Amino acid sequence: MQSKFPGKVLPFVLFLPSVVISVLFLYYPAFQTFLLSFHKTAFFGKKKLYVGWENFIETFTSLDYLNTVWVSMVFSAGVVIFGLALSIGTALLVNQTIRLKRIYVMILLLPYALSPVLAGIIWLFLFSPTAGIINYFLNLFFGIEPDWIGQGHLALIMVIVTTVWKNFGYNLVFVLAGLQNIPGEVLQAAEMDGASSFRRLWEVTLPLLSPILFFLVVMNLIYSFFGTFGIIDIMTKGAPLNSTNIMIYNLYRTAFIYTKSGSAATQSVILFALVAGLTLLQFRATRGRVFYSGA
Amino acid sequence: MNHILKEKLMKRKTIFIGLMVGLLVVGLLVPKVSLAQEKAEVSFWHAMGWMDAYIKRMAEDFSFYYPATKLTSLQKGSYTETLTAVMAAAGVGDAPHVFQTSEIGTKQAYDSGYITPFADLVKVGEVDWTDFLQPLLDNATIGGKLVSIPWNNSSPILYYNKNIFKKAGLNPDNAPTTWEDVSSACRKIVASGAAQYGIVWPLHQWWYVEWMTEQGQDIVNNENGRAGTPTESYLLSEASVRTFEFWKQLYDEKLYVNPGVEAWTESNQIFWAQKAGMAMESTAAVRRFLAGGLEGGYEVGVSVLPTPRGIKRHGIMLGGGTLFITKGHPEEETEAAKEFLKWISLPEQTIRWHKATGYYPSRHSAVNVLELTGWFKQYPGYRVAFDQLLESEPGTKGPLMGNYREVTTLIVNALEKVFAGKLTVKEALTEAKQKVDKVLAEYARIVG
Repeated sequence: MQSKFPGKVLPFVLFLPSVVISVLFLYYPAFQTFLLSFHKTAFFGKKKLYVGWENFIETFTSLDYLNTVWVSMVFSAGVVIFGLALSIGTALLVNQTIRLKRIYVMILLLPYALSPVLAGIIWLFLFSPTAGIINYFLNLFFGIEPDWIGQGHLALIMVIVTTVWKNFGYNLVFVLAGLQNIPGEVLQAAEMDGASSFRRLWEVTLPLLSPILFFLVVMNLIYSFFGTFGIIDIMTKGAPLNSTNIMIYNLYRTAFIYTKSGSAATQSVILFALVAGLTLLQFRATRGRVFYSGA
Repeated sequence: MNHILKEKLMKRKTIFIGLMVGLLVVGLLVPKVSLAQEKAEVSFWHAMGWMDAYIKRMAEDFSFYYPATKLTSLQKGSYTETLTAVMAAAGVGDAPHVFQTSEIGTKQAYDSGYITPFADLVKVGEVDWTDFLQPLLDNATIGGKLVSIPWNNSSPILYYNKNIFKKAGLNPDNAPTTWEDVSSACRKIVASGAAQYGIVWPLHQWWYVEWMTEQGQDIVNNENGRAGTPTESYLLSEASVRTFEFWKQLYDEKLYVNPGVEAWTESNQIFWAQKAGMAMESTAAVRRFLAGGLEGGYEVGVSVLPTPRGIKRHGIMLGGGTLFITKGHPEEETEAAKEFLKWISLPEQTIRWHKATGYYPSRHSAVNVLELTGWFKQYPGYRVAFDQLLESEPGTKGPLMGNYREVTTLIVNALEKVFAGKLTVKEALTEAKQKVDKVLAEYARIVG
């Protein structure tokens, strides 16, 4: 059904605020950032020196920056893989008709509503090498008290766990919705044909879930690259020795602690290109493997 | 309704909606129209989170005594966050009149062109500078000109647990004053079981800089940045290597526990829980340490910063912050800001501030009053802090670097690598020097 707008001006007038805001707060700053990445600055941008590609060359040849990229990759891989595995597993369990199902789902969704700061503080406390409950039980059962904050790989595990926990609700909601959209007859048919529960999962459920899963992988990737700043800042600030220094945190540090806006803009452009590239890669790689119903 | 009327109505609706939208956009974009104020509004940004309530009262106090001024204070976060906020605000012409920054921001503030040196605002004879503690003034001086007003300066000192000392067989009235004595005291403490560790202090660049200053070694060239923008560092100097070696040796022998990078609270808590026999912290923490001792049932002693034996003590670099006035405000507001800084340095204000925080009072007359009223008898720890300050050699101390934080982060990273056993001291310092020199050169290039 097509509706016509009375008059030709009205649509544009109504459209205008969105455009103004988008341009002012999204496109213009993005453009400025792009320009800034070709300058070196001091005093938060007051003094600018045009340096062409130098920022980019310096950044790409800096071992510290390459370490940051590596850490981000490992971090994101952890968040995506564990996050999705956990949510799919939990969703499958919760999706059965059990008593108190609603209450379980509600409890499982709660952490998503927490601010990253709170999530970070809670898990920092739990993981505390001297006062935390995790080490208490580890000591009780295995006699070890790992230094979660002082050791690089352990600190990375700590922030991955926190991030997965924090984002769990989001993943769960979508997987549950996806599961509920699978028509029961398909699974029953598979069962009658003699498929084991594993085969049912692997060859029926997951393929039917694939659009949701694909969506979630992209969203989790974006989240792990851009949305986890709060958790890192509260828990480790990139320490120990840059082992949890993901790209977005390094960007923040360069921009707001070292006040080198030019270098930060360069990192921003690189990060944008990386995530856009990853997403594109994803679309390519899963073409033909994602089954969208209805077309 | 006929066709023509309908069209007219639609046209009116369109115009009406268009007007509303236009008004909304204009209303959001037009800057606030400020009503004519009789009072000069002065804004003050600081980084003293735990003293925020006191500073608010102080602002009200000032506004009471100077009714033509309305002073508002705003706590902006850490020193770094405050400085960044000021730079960002100044960039759009919205800088606060007065802001606080520590040595990490002094050169940046000066180079940025956003500030007016205090000496430029004050006429000859307006302030009795001879009453001020010279080291504090030196700290706020660049190129012979006073750029800011000292407000909350401190220095590093050694705190020790007298009970643990007694248990370890050490003399509780005699704290170690050299690195070597500290090491042997730590060994005795740990061996006797009096405490788990001998000593603790945060993994913070402040101590590296202080020890370099005490050993009389500049950290960067161009007279430590005071004769011009530095371009090279002296991280491979003997003093630097010695400092790293000392720190590493204490760590390797498990006499020192690493509470974390910039982990002031964690470090202090280790001492307060009597897990370490000694701690190093700022003079601004005297009150808290004494209170901790009372609560924990042990006596706290205070002593000077330990330095390497056989090396002459050159004196400490002042920690803490100074207050700057920014440019670009109407004259009566700048005058009011100046009056605020003069007022805050008056003996009565500086005495109250010292008693509340432990930071140095900025004037000799204030120190005399504290002496006469028995303050130092009650808190002999402060006397130690003063003597250490006044015994320092005259002359400006501490490095002036535009990208202080970036440089010091690289130094701390080097130390962390040494602790983790990844690099030797020489290797770590060589790598750090390379990176630091690059960073210094970059700043020098941009600022010109």
